[in-house]
Amino acid sequence: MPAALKTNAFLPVSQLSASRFAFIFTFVFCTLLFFSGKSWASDQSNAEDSSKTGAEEFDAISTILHHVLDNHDWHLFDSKDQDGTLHPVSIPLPIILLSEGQLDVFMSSAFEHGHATVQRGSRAYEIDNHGHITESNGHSVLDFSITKNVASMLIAVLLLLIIFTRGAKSYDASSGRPQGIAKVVEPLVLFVRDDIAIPNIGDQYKKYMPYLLTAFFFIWINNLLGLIPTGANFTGNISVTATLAFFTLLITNFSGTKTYWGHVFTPHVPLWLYPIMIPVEMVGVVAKPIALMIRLFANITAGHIIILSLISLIFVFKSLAMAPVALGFVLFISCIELLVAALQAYVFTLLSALFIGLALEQPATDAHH
Amino acid sequence: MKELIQPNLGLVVWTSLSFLILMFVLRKYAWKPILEAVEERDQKIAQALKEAENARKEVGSLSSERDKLLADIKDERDQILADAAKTRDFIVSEAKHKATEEASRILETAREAIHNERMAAVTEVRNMAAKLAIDVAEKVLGNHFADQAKQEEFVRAEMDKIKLN
Repeated sequence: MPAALKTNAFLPVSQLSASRFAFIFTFVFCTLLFFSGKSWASDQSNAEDSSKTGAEEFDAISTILHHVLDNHDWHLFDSKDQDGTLHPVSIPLPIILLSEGQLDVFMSSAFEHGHATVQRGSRAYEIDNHGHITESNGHSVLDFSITKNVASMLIAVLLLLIIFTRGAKSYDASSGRPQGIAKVVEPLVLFVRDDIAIPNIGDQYKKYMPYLLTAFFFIWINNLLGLIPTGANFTGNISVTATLAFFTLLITNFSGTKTYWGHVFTPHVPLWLYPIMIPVEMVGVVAKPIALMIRLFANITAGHIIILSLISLIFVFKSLAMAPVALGFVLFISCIELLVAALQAYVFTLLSALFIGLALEQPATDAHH
Repeated sequence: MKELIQPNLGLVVWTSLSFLILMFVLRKYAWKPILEAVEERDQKIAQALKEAENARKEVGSLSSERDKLLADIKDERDQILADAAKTRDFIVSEAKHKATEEASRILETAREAIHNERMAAVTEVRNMAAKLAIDVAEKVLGNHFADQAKQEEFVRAEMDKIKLN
């Protein structure tokens, strides 16, 4: 011990604090991941127990799908009562339904986890195992519920509003230097401006900055929220990525110059090739945002599925000895997922900027084609 | 598995709504102020750099101006020094000339005065000698005229002396 103290005493102060910081960071990170793994594990065990009322085999696929898909309540864990039956414990979320021109609003707890029918006027609502709400009398139902994904997104929106409006206010009035939170926010904003918008869009980048910045941080924060145990798989939902990709499609095509549309409708090919080329070009217009949609959806969902699969290994093997192995892999994949969360936000924004830049093409560059 | 790629209208609506509201709120309260602050600062920095460059140039031109001024002053000083040396030489030579002249004039006067004095002294001596001679002659005449023989002897002696002269 004295020897260690001695060597420590000879370490430069900065090096000492850096190594201490690294240690604390690693410790906190590992602890968090350990607990995240644990809570997933408990999720799994509950799902397993609840499904095997008759000693059924653990169904990894349906369990994983259940976690990857959207839900009408925010499931936290299950509790076992004295009889040994399991009761899911979850945060109820508002159900908003539009049926027969009537708006019905109630909490998801009214369904009692699928066991009860909710009567509103002449309408009786039921929910199935997959979270589909149907009307018993055969009326069509439009579901605008605040689902787990929507709730998670609203939290992300709130976080974004707090972080960035506060960031914008944390500038020193006289010198214009960033203070506090702006010191973190500004480099990220400048990254989007200098490494995404300007290289791909060029001089007209300013008009597109609000969309690119919002998309980048919206996707990133939602990706990160999805990595929190019990979190929602918001950015891994096809509806979400389709919506975001649709915005890029709209912005791209509304910014399209004459040259851009000229490429689509009057390509530089012999006239007899037009019947082939025009449809191909039109497919190209739609394929770009579809690629965006699928890329984000697939990456994020795949990450969630990998982590859940690794946790499921414990239950598939029915052995606690599997836990350290699975958790080791989960730790590793979680680190990668942290990277992927930022990377996919970057890729989505980068490609959006690239498509916008292509749509802004001027005739001068056209001569090269 | 099919549910994975089934779009959900509710989620689409909520996402669109939230995203658009978020974008418009952040555009006004975050992106615009942040980007403007950054741009303003960039401009300030660019302006400061330009000003520094200008100041540097100005200092350069000032120093070259100063060098030119220094060179001019040096030239002028040399000129003045040269003039002063010339004047000094002139004054010295003039003074020397005048002094020589004066000295020769004084010498001349002195010589003349000496000559005059000498002439006066010579004249006086002559006069005195003549007077002495007359006095002597008077005395001799007074004492020795009674005794003829002695008179003759004296005259003879005197005459001898004169011969000797």
